[in-house]
Amino acid sequence: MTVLEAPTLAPALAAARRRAAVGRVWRVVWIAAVCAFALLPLVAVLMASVSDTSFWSAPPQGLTFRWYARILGNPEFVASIGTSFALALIVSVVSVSTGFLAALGFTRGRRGVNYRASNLILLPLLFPHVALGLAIYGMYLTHSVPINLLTLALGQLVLTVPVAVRLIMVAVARLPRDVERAATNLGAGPWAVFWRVIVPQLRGVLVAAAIISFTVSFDDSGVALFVNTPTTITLPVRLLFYRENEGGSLLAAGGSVLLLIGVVIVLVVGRVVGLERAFGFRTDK
Amino acid sequence: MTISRRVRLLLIAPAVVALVLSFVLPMLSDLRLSLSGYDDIMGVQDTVTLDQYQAIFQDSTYLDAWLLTLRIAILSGLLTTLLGALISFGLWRLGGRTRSVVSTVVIAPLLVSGVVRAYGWIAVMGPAGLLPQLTGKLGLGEVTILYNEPAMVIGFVHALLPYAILILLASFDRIDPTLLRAAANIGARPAQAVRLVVLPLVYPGIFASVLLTFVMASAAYAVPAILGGARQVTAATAIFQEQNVYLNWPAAAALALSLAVGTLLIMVAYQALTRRTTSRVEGHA
Amino acid sequence: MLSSYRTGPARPPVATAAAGGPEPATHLELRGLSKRYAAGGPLAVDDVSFTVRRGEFFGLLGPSGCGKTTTLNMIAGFVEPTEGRITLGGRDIVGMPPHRRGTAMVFQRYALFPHLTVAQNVAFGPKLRKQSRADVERRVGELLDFVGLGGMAGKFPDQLSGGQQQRVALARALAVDPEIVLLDEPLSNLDARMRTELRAELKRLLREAGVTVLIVTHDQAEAFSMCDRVAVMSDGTVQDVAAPMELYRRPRNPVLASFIGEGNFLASTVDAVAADGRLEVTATLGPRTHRLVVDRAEPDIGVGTAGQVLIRPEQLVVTAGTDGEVVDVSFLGPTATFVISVADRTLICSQPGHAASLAVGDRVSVDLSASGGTFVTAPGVGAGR
Repeated sequence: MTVLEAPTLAPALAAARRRAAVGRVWRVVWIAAVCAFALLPLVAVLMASVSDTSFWSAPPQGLTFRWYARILGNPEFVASIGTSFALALIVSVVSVSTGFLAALGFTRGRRGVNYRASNLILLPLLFPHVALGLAIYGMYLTHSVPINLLTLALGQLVLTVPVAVRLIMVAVARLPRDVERAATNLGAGPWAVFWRVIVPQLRGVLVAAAIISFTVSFDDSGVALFVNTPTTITLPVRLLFYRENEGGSLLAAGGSVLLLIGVVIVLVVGRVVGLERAFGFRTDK
Repeated sequence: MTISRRVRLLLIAPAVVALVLSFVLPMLSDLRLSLSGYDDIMGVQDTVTLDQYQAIFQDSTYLDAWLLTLRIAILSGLLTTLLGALISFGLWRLGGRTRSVVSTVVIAPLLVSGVVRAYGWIAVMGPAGLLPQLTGKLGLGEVTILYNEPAMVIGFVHALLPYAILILLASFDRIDPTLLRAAANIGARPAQAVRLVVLPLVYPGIFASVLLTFVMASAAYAVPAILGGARQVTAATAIFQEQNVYLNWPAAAALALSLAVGTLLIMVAYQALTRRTTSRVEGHA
Repeated sequence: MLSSYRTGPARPPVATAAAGGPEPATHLELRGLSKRYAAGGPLAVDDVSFTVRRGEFFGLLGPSGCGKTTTLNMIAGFVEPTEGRITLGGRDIVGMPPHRRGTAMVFQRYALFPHLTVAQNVAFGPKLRKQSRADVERRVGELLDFVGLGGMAGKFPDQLSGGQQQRVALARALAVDPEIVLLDEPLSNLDARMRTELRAELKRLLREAGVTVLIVTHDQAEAFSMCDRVAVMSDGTVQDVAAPMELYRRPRNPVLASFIGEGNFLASTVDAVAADGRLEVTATLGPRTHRLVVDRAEPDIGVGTAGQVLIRPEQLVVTAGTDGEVVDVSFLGPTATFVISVADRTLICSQPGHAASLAVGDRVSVDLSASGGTFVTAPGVGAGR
């Protein structure tokens, strides 16, 4: 059916459509700018790591992988990778398990969710990491506690346990109770309800908590800054210490290794749970 | 599944033990240390004195450090929140898959160590970096931003932006999108609708973001250490210096505790000041 | 523009100096309105046309997905049409941004500003027009009294019940002196009890305010009880536009007929047109045919046309007999519905609750000649009555 176009109609509609098109262009521009800003330093590190100069240079001047060869051939550096990994693994496992148990304890009381007590758990998060690191290191030295992977892990727990508890608590509190009642109604005892109904529903958040704990530990430059020995230095701290004596490109290569490990973790998260969902965003709409 | 009190205490116990060992005890030890005397030759004295606290609040070098920390943290907090609010608003209006993708890109840097991110800005803004090479080509001379306050602020804004966006997006998500339509429907131009309807409802998120980014910026080590250089001393780098270079443990401990307590006090005061606006929105929104 | 919300029922059109004569009866007109969301995709709204008269209560009724909400959003300006015209008060409004149209809406979930009090919500529109503070305050007070929320000015939306929130939404819409008030599923958010109460209340308030109203709903009872005329939509098109009684008694086609109420359909053909305009038809029920005189829904129906006779349950006359048997009884209170198995099919019949006399198993006969009915033909696009 043809449209009766009055003289006053076309300009108004055309103007509206023009406005929408301009809006679309603007949108692309600001999204690109934001993404560029977020990724800029990371891209720059990668660029500088292949530069054939010993100082920071981006875009790279000349192309070489010798810095990677040097840093990966450096036994101290490689040892740090291992230290960081092992440490992060221990910390994440311990954090998630203690966090999960504590989350259950806080949410399944007779009076519902106990927010006051759990808020107390969050208190350490308000403290600066360097203060925590110094305090832990000081305590270890004062009481002659040996500093090794385990004691370092214990120190980092203050960074990860509160986050894990809170994150898992939110998910546990949101579990539909009717589902558990239905299971009981069909004959499941408490143990079965726990393993077959509660835990499977929490798989996503437990993985998310593990990955967050892993990352916090791996990337930490607060506690690990103080709590270390010449043989037990984590990767980020090692890179921090190197800045006095090493050139930019070497640091860039080291940083890139650290960065690439982080990227791998991101991909794993994305595959398993979805990054946005891990942080609690709505993914509907 | 309701759990008996005894079992609940058992469940919470591991997390509590972990935190007592990694937080409570170290902090007490720190307190004791901060109240000890220090002698340049003999080291830490087993006395009880307020000398350290006196020094750090009277010595001009320390005062400069406190002021610098405060300045940078406030500036970073405000800038990060402003930028974060604009970006979050755009993402909120976008919705859908584009929002998910862009959010992921913006938040992903959180999973890379702060050390690498800070180094990245040297690759961008330091000599032979992206910025000077660009400005050189544009004929503006080679502009670098490094080892000064602007460099630290830029580093902080970039590092803290993901946190701000997480908080602010959550705040925006709590707003019913039909409200914007309702406002337009009764005569509000788009800008008016945002100012009169969206902004008031986002205040709690904005206040929370400013506080969080301020707290994190005041305590961070990597950015000031790497981008500030030796001459810019913040509270965090001062703590490390005292302990690592001067071996003055009591001073370092006093600095650490002062930073922690100072931050807590600021937080409490801030919450009290913003309570009226926050409760008006959250209580009724 | 009428703003007589205080002074009784709607006034007849008034001569205005500006127009130089009586205000035209047609207030809102849609012509050939269509909306296609994705190129090559289906039409959400397909060539919709109707007019709404000044002061009229007009309903858009249809199941979810029929295009009624999209149409409403196009009138309000939240969605731009792919084709077609919309005129309001004589002005073309397509392409105009929503905040300049004068199409105040009461949203389905009210969309009250949670950070503002009731009074501030209502004052929102007037304040944007830079009216003086005294004027705004007076206006807000009058409106709140009008909707019966006099003492609630200082409360916040989350402190009010659903019904109260809706009145605030209404007051807020009226406060901007709109050309037309749009209601989006006004009662669907409330429980059954509140719904009937508020239906009457809303109708009374809107009539007193003297405004033109367009209501979008999927609830037939809501549309029928509140509206002067209803446009029934399905699959993006308008099936028919008429007063509720016409739609019920003389539906244009079987689809429309079964959407609005229940009915019995018998295949039939037209034999002759009677002097009074009614139709003489031959209808089939099982193996037998019956000669009936029925009403017509369409104006031009000739001899030999094939179609169906619609007999509403309350029209069907049922007596004791041997044709069939009552197989189900539903006693609903005001009415009782019976399912009767006769001639290898089922018929539905209903009786007033207090006079219900059939039980399961009763043997009955149907008297078609005494029942009356309407002749309906295959679906077609209505042009409005």
